[in-house]
Amino acid sequence: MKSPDDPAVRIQGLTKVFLGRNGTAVHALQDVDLEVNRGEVVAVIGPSGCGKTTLLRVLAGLDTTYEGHVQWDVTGEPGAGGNARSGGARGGRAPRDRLTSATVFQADSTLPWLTVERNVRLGLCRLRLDRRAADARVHDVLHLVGLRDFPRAYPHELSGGMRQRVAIARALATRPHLLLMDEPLAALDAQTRIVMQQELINIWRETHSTVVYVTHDIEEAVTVADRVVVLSARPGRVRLVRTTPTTGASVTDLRRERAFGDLVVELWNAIADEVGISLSPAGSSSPAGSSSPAGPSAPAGHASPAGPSTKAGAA
Amino acid sequence: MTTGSSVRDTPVKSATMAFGDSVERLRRRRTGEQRKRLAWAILTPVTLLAIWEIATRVGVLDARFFPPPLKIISDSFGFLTDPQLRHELLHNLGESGTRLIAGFVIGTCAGLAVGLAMGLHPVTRYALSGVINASYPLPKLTLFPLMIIFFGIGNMSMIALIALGVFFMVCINTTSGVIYSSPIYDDVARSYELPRLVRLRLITIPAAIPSVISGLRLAFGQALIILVSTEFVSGNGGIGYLIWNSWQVLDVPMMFVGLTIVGLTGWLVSVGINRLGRTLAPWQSD
Repeated sequence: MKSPDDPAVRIQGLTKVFLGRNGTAVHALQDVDLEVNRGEVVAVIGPSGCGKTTLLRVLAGLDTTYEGHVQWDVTGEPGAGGNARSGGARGGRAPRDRLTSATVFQADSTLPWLTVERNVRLGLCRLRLDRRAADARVHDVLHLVGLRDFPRAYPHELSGGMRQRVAIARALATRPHLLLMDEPLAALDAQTRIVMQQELINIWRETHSTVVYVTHDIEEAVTVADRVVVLSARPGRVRLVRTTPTTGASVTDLRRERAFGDLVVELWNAIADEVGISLSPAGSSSPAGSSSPAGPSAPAGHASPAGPSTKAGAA
Repeated sequence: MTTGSSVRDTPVKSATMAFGDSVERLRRRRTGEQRKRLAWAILTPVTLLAIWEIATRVGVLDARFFPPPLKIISDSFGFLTDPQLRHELLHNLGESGTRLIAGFVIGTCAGLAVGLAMGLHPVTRYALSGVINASYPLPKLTLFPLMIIFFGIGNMSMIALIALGVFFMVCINTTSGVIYSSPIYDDVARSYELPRLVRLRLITIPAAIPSVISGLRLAFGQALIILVSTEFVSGNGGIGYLIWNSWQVLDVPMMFVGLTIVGLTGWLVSVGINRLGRTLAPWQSD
């Protein structure tokens, strides 16, 4: 029997193998177990190439050739939203005004032949919304992501960060039960990123969204998520799961809290351990540097084994 | 009073004026660049024509085979004033135009339809790509006898051959436009559960447009080649016949008039297709 307390997403023993061009198998994910509760925001971090994006694509239903069990029932209503992609009778249900899931992709996913407004409206295609409700949603999300003045612009007239905000707006407009985000803020400049982090957190609180958030930015993961999952180096397994300190502080104030810094360091160490990096301040082993272990000293000298991961730690 | 208000207005006004100035400067720079491009585009051919003119006047080039450009121009005015010559020219142009347009339209429609089917439906693609890739590299003129067997001597066989050449270009480019468009568009379509028709209209077709446009451009060049060469050999009139016949009777100015018409047509249509591409796919900057 279903109960509202069941997890929204339950992944058991998920294993994903890619077949390379010359027939060699690449193990992306190995026996991943993960549960995401309804209304929970889970961030997934890990070394480059550990299968974060693959995990997200499986959840989005974009990758269907995997082994293991992926079950989801994001709406909490019997018969709706639960593994809906696998078909099943959908007739007789109340008109949908929310999409079961929506994905924000890492790469630019705006359609260059549609205006900003029509890019966002595209996501609403499958929903039963009258024109006025759709207009209102498009207007609201564009306002939210700071693109209110550009509804008729084409993506090629915008910066990369603005295009990514269009993609975020498109996903948010569908008010998805499950929101899947793959490094959604990576293309944004540092200031906008912080603003967007706060905006996303506010929206999620308001809409009780269930979110799976892939990022390479440890601080961002701790900032936006309720729980952070660290995947190991390829093949990706769940190495560590940590609950983040929930204080209700703003995105910037959060950084001042000790629990925040401690968790960032712990997560960084877990990832660094995965890729075999150890950090020590240049030329000394005194504990003086321990107040900012993942700080600016991070890339110095030790960067060679895995460049991208070092960058993730310093970000 | 008036001075008071003007003082208050000054900062705002000067700010907008400074802004207007820089916009004006940008505009001027852009038109300047356009003028420069146009000037060079005209200067080069004019210089070449001038060299030709001088070379024939001083006897470096044989004026019987390379009549000076000014003579060709004055002769072509003669074709326009002389009723019989004018009728001949217009008649041949009409013949060629009919063949070209009919062949191009038929070939384009068929190419778009088959190309789209091959792009959207893998089994169709597997089934047809072998045949198409094997027959595409054949010089189309080698198939002219076959076309005559199928469609008889006359317009039909020539139109069929033009359509065939156009078909290959458009079909291959449409197919690759559909299958090699960015996979992210496909992800978006699936992620937002777009219905099949919406997907075709808002994603598949627009994504293929740039490739289709370049297919059309190549196809028109191909169509002109096939048109002129079939007219060379068939003797059924047309601009190709006019060129070949003028050469045979050593009416060299008439031959050059024919060449100029073919060249101008190719150039103008290519410009037109480019413009069409920029209108349909403004995000593509080429």
